[in-house]
Amino acid sequence: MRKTLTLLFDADPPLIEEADGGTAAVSAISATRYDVVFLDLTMPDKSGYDVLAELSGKPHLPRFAVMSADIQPKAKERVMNLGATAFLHKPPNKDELRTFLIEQALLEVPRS
Amino acid sequence: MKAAEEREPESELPQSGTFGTLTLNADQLDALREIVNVAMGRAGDALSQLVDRFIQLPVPEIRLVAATDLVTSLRNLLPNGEPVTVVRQAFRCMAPGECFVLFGENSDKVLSILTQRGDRNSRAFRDEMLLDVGNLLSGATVSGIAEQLGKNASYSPPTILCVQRPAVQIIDATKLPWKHALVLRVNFRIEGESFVAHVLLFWPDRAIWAIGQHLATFLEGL
Repeated sequence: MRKTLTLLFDADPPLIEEADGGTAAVSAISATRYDVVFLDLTMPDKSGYDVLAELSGKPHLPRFAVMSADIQPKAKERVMNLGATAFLHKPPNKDELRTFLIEQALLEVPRS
Repeated sequence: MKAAEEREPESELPQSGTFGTLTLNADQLDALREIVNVAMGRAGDALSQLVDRFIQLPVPEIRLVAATDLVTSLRNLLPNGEPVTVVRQAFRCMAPGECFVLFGENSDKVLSILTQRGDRNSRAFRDEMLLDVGNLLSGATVSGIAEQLGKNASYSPPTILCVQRPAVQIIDATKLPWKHALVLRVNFRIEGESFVAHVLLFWPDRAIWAIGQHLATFLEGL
């Protein structure tokens, strides 16, 4: 994931930090202003649903792109209701990531 | 699905050799966990359609276990020597293998969840449900691995190996034709209820070795 993102940003890679689980993610997001968080739904200590619910309503939240292998329509509906910006599928797909980052104005449209 | 008997070229696999020290390193296991995670996403969706309820996906745990350690491993997974219900399914993906899906002591609970729409006292209905869920888990796991590796998988129909018997009585390492098994533990939650299933994938060492080689390539793409 880190490698894919770095490749997408090419010459100007963003600063990327990783949180090892849901609890660490909540702490990091509470302490730092991130542009975007790629959030896994299935984590051993705290699910992505719990992370979104716990942070709901807090100020200066990042955009959340949920990354999940869950293809149940209700999973997407639930995270979007909890404030996620996007629902991306696992395994990470470079084109899907690029589209999301361009939509969010985090990545420039490549010149043809 | 194609019949398991349909042959697939095995030319990519080493035809002989000893793999006595067959291991998967931490990165390879991470990659395998990620692949199984995607597979369980599909299994969860299929299960959700079967029971018409939302399924909270498991965080799958996967390990490579030597057949000789399998009984010990099962004792650890099922610490109280609880009886298990086992669905068995033969498959072919690179090489012939077999998948055992073990439902633990709460398999009754699983059945009560699954049989809410049917006649829960009917043995035929119960068996059908067990076969459906067993087939779904083994199919998703094997196909998930196969797909990520760009391989085909085919299956024989699943059968119920036993109902509520101690796991250690079912697995006799001395009679197994395989030296290793991939042991997967999944814990599905269905709106407040949960059930645990253990998936044992038996594959010839040369196939597991080949999977290990492919995982390195898969990791590159992550």
